[in-house]
Amino acid sequence: MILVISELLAFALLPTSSDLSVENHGQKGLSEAYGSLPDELDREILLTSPTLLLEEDDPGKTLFISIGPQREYTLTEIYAIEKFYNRGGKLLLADDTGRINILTNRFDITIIEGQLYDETFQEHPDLVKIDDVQLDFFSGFLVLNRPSSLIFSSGQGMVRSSPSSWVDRNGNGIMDNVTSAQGEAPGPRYLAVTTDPDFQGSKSGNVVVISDPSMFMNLMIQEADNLDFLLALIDHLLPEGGKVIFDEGVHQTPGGTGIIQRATRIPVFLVTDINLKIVVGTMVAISLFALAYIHDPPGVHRHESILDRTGVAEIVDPGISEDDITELRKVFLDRVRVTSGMSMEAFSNLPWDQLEKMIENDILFKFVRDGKLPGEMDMNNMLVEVRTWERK
Amino acid sequence: MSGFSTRAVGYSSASMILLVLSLVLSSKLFLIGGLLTLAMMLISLSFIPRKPKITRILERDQVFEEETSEVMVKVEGKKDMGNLEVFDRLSLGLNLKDSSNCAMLPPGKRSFRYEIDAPLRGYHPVGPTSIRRWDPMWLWFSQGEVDNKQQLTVFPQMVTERSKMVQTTQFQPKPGELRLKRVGIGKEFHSIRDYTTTDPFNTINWKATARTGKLLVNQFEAESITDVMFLLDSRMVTRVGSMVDNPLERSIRFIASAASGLLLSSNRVGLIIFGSSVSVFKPMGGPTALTSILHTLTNVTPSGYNTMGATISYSLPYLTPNVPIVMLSPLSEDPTIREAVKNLLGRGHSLTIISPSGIEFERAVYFGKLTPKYLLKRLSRESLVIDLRSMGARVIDWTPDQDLVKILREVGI
Repeated sequence: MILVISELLAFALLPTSSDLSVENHGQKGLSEAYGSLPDELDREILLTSPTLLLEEDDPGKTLFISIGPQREYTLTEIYAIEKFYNRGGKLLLADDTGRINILTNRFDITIIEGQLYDETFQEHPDLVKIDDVQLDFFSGFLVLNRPSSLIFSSGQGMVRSSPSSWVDRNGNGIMDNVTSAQGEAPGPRYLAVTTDPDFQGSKSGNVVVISDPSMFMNLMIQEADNLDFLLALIDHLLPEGGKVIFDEGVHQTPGGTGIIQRATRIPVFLVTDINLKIVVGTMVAISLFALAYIHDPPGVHRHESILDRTGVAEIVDPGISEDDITELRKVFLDRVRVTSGMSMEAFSNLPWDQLEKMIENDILFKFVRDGKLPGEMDMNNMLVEVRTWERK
Repeated sequence: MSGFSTRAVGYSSASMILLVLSLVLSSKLFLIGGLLTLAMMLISLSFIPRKPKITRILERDQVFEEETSEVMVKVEGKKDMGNLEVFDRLSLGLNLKDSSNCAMLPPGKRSFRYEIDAPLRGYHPVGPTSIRRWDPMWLWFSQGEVDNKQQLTVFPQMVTERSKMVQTTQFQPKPGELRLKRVGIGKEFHSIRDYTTTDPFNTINWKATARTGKLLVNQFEAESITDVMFLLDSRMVTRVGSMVDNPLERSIRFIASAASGLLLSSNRVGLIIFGSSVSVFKPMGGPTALTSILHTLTNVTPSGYNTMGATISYSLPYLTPNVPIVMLSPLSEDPTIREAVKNLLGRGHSLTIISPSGIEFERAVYFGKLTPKYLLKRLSRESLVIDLRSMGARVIDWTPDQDLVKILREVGI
């Protein structure tokens, strides 16, 4: 669903106008080639990233077309394309800059940088004419626009230039440097390669690499048998029909729409990249824990009364200790004084022996005289003594 | 102020979890669930009701303790979507008797009522009203306050009817104008005394002042039956026990009841309050006196550590000679009590001490348990009471189980 929404969103928001875009109706666009595809084929335009190929349900009947990428594929994207291929997916890759080598090298194919010139050209040396292409599924002529060439170590060449062709490796427009290994010596060069020449069905993958993307643009598609070649190639790769996906995500849309396009790739990566899924999942889980931790729920409105509170002042500590000894002594002396009906002045002048007679209790007298507890008494026992004391 | 509810956190967490699961499992079901939850939240958050107008009607703004007052809160606003949470703040010293002061209402023209119980005297604020405006799903709120603060005055409880029934023993009411040969605000000259800062200038005896070289004022005979001076101990220590029932509250209720009875019998009543400071209110009579005394008592707060000795020393110039004094104090945590009582009695005042026993109220806090510290304090207090009685003061020990009427009868006011 995210894929559909992101694709629809990007499609609605981004009227791409870059070169080799299927939405480009100008000379450098691919709209004509795109529009010429048979109606039986499902057509999709991938605006974000080929990592979405991981989500393809039936790769054996799906052809991924990337024509003239304007950026290199990321490792995640390459992984997705490779996996798509391994699951039976078909690839049609066209590039003359070498940007796609990071992908094609996985299939032992390399685009050689440098324009290919040939003595057989149409009107202008940039338009290389390939006569009499004979393939199982196609025979005809092709006209290429400033093609490069390619080399491969496995697979089979499909289109080859004439022996008089050469590659301008140093880009100076003349054939020089003919002696070195990387030289510009004339000879046939491969312009299209397939990884599986014996490809028959939809079970195994197949990659076709063409070293000229511009042969399919609106300006060139009607030249010679270019269009027929494209249609025949697609028919060859998808003999049972299926779906064709044009990768528009590799075309750099300029300006603000380009920024939006690049931004839309993020959710696609999130959806398709397993590492990102783990990272994002972990981050979301941590964020949720953090949110739950820091969330301070709004307090419930409730009237709180303090009327049931209580306070203490004198009996803060219900027990008594050695600190209360002075007060206990004073209490006892007051008790003796009050019981005897003496004034405070008269009582304070009372001699010890008279006080001892009044108290008539050795323990209490010792306590009053010394101001400390007798050895065998603790505060609680002394309190009991004081409390039970009565003048006889 | 605004904030999210726990419900909002739950919803957003659920939607996030669903979205992550949809990514990990490539599940459209989870994706739809997550997006639906998010969409519901967003839609709900876009409907916050507008601020309503709040008005409050207090049935009565002056009550006595244990009385109730009904409050009606009217909410007037547009019929928006969402919810309103209206909370009418109340003083911590008030109780809710019926219904709630918080209401969840749909926006529009609404009202709700609640009843408040006022068990404790004081000037209690009612309001301001706090409003939380919630979205329909109770996810987010915006909180504000309406500045509609009102005041509920709760006067101390009085036992007026019963006090009238009590036969006075000390202060017998008599019909007609009486000259009491006591200082008051009558017309007949009584004596001369030193000037105090609160004396009006027209009472200054200029001849005597010129003769002695210090300011002297004339005192006139009182035309009421008698003056009674109440001395109220409002130190911090008087607030032991519960908020509603403690020595200070009992003392205040006693003074309110006694003063009411005395004023109804054409007496004059004065008041000295000591705690963090000493406030002296000279004897006053007439119809406004009770209101004035009630407001004064309503405003008393337990605080401070002023001693009774210092209070008496400060108040002596304000005391009418021989005026009977009724002292209300728990007689605790003050070493100057004996000296202060001796001082008053020495000046010829008849002194009645009504002492709500602080340690008995504290004992109640410990569920009536007989603790060693309680015993020690009680012994100390017993000695003090015996001492005060032996000095000539009338001491009434007011235990928590004795009600106000009983004490009023015992005092004989």
